[in-house]
Amino acid sequence: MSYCRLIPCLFFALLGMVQAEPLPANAWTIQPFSLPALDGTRHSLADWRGKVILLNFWASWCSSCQYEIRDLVAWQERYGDRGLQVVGIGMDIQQKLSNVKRSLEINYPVLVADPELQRDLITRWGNRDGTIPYTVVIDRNGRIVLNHRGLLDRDTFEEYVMPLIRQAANSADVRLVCK
Amino acid sequence: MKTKKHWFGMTALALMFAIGSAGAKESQVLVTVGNLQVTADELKSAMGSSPFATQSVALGEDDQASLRGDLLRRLVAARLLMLEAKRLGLDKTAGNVKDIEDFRNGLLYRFYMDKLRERVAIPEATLSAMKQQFKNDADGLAAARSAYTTDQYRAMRLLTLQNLQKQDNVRLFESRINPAIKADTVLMEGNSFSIKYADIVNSREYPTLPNPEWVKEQLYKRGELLLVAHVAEREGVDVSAKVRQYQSERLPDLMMEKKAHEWIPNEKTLRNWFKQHPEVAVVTERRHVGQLVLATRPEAEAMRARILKGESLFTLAGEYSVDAEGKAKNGDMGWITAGRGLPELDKALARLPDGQVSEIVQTPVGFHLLTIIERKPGQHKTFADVRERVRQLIINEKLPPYLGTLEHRYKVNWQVLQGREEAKSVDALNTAKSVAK
Repeated sequence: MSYCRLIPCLFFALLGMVQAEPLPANAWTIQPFSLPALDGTRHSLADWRGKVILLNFWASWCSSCQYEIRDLVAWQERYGDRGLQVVGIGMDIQQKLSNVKRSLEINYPVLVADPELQRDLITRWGNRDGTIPYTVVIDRNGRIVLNHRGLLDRDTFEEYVMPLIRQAANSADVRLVCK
Repeated sequence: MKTKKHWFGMTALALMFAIGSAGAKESQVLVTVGNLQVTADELKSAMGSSPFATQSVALGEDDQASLRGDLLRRLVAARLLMLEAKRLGLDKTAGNVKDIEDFRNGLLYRFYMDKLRERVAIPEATLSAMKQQFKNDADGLAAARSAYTTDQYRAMRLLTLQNLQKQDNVRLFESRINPAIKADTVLMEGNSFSIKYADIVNSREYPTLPNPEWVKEQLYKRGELLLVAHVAEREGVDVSAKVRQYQSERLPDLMMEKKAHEWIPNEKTLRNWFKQHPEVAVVTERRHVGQLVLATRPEAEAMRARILKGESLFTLAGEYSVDAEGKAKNGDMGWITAGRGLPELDKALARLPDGQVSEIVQTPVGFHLLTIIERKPGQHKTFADVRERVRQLIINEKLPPYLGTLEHRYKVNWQVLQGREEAKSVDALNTAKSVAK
């Protein structure tokens, strides 16, 4: 067996070891949603299947959310082409969400949660008390790596999200080498 | 002469064009005041740190432009006050010089200590153990890291201070803290600094020696501050930009304090103004109102009958009200101050008991049925209750003409308004006025 074939095998074996550990939940086993985005399109989370997803719940009146959004925009800009996909879930009036999107130049999709169903939606994604900001980190296979209440700061991003981005990128590199 | 609203509107409109997209030209000069400038960068920073920072992001473009115009006006006023404060030498008073020096030392100290903390590294093995322990718990991991760093920093800080004391040959004279102490008694001395009793204890506040242990504590704190600040400065730490920034914020405050003292020299001034403006003490009744509006009287009569039989005015308003806003809010009109709104409605509300449905009230809008959910009765406050408000109202009254005289003294050049033909046209002015409302 050539080294070229061995490397991806080792890589996926190691990945398998990580995956074999007890998982909090898998995103694709959670009841799916279909929500309108601010640009008028409609999306479900499965539209970004295979990417590293940051599902971020926020509202226009939440100052911590606004603070965090500036980082999310920067990360989407920097790592979007390496498989990162931030998805905002707006828990607020559509017009205000649109204003924030324009003011903060949000560069990722923002889906609007129906006010009647917001609580149910965020609970389904692991946050019973409904506090925001709240972010769910999902890896390429749908594994929920982190349910994070409060600001997702740079250290936490570095610790939990960057390895997933590197993993995706490394995996892509290996395939390229083996062509 | 331009009105205030007109003026704000002009600014708001121009700002919409000039920096509507979050300041495309970041360092663009918006206004010059004497030899000082207000830049787009500064305005953006002021927006970000204002009490409206969170709300402003969620506003529409017109409202954001209006808010920027208002903030720009405030920045210009601050510049005028700063120039006047300098002209009057307020930056050279002993109090201000000490204040600035304390601020500067504080910055140098903080910079040095932050650098010290940054040098604390968590060994790889310890970090791995932490990550293992707090897997999938970002907050737990952050807390563990912080606790470890704090412990290490504490030990490192103590060691550093001991070394700095030796290097600077610091001597302590605690035995001099006794009832015979004088303002110029030296209590701590090093090669680079000395601390006298007057530096740490205000004789006006403490005419006799306060608790010696408290004095020692002040002495140690001051000693540490000066020693570290001196070392930071020697190592080339430059905090001059932040000191200038602080000075530019402090001087307008000092100028305002001076003017406020001139305008309100004593309690009598406040009381006289209060006597001349008794309306300040009056708090008007407010009512939380529900409303259903119909197009015709027969419809209103039918609805009133249904409400009297037990149906909810609010449910019916959500379904049948011809007032679009009221319908969208299921008839909940919020809190309305007595004396405001349509006179017919105000009159009807004045005699309507809480919780009951009114007779039909006809207005140009339609036929109204009203109810009062809750009421906050009016009251007459005392001078003590409104003293601070009176003070602020006097300042509000005196400040605009005073700023006018300063604008006359120091040339204000609104570069943001220059060369914008659209802002000069009548149509644009009208738009600007509506934006400023």
